Amino acid sequence: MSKKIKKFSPLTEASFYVLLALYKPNHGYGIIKEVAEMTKERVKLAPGTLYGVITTFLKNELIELDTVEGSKKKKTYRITAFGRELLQYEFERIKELARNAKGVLK
Amino acid sequence: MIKERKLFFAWQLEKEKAYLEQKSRDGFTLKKIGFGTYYFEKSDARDVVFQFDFRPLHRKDEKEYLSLYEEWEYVGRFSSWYYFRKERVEGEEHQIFSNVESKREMLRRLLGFLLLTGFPLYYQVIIFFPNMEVSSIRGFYQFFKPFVYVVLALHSYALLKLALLYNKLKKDITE
Repeated sequence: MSKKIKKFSPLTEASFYVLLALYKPNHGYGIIKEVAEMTKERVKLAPGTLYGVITTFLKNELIELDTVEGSKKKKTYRITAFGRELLQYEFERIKELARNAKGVLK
Repeated sequence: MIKERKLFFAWQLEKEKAYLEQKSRDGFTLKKIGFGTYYFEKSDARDVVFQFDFRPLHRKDEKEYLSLYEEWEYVGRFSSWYYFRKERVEGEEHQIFSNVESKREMLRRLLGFLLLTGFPLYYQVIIFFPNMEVSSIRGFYQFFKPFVYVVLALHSYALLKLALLYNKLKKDITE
């Protein structure tokens, strides 16, 4: 596991879903809708929280700006190779979590 | 427009929220925010929730930031404070921060800003004023001094209150 991944793991639920939603390029509010749909409205990302996640992820190159057609369009984001690596790592971690829980909770 | 003077400090966010929500229930829609001043317009009574974000943004990033608030009504900005409101619906979440970490981040931004702006203030009181020797501005200094001390007291109090709030949030273990 690279040091960089260690810095971000474990991700908060909001952060995890933002990365997952950006497997397909999407704009900011699109992420909120995508995550709500994925979780059947259980996870409603709040805009203030999402903005913080987006800026942190951009800064750390977990996501990047998709080519912006014309400056008037909304910004579109997508996951980077490093973002995918982190998400895969988290996926394995969560699977382990589920396996261990399954062993104990019937 | 109806102008109302009312001063809330940074650590009185809950009070300010309650005041604005009551105003809205009384049929006054907030239109503009100034320093210790609120501008309302008479309207139908609305049961809304107010939320505030402290976010020093570059002008060019503001549009992108506001685009995330699709489900909120953006009221306006005062300094780096952004005001949002939304119709209250039973059983729905009405917060612009959905986890503890992002709530703490806002307080961190606010504390950072206060420390930065406080620097010249502390410099004046601790170094500049006591060591001033030019007599021609002594009178000015005497006039100015009480004012600076009041601001200093408020500033320190704000830092303390916000730091305590920040610490209280830390104790939440859900994240």
